[in-house]
Amino acid sequence: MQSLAEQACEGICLSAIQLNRIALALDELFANIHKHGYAGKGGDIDCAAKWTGMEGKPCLLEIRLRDFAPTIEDIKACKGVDPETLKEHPVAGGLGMHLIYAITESFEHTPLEDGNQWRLTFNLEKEKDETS
Amino acid sequence: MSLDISIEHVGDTATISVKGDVTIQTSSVLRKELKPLFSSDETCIHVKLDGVEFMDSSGIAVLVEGLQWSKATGGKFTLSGLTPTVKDVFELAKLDTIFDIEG
Repeated sequence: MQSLAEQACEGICLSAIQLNRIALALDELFANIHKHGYAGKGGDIDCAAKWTGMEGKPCLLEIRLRDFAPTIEDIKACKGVDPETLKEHPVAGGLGMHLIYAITESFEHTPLEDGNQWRLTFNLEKEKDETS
Repeated sequence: MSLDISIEHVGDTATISVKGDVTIQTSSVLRKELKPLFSSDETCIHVKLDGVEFMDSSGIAVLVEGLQWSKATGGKFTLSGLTPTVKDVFELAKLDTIFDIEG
């Protein structure tokens, strides 16, 4: 997943922290699709990345994933664990979704007739401010 | 991809040093090493992460098991040596407020 993130960001100057965030969000989503969508049996995932620029500088990365697993009608129930409750009730589940929401600028799911589409965006300008 | 783990026992403290990426492929190795410590006589478990550049939710889930042990037994479970990339994720996901992180 790190190499996929590096490929999506080829030619773009990013910090190790920015690259790590992108790789981690992709890693978590791929793992969830594999585990829950394809029930660990494997399946196809299409992936596309697009950069949107501002004043000629790429700053917003959009990554779309498309799987052919059973359609999920509503992912609102999969919001992930709340760290506030984790201290009193340490549970290991739901951390992946929590990380995806924490890392991305936006995270959207669209149910399709024969699968699911996932759209993640990363605001690299904002992240640059946070990581500098 | 492999995980290099070493454990040092001093007094009532076990210090576990981890090197490598902690991912869905390798986190079971960390769990296998940590689990016996949860049923040992040691009252402090310290995890050194200075050799970890990448950790996903499966790795964090193993560390959450340390929190569960701490809550159940009153033992002390601490982390240290978070690299900038791992520290960033912990801060972003507010996990730095959950774990006892030294240094």
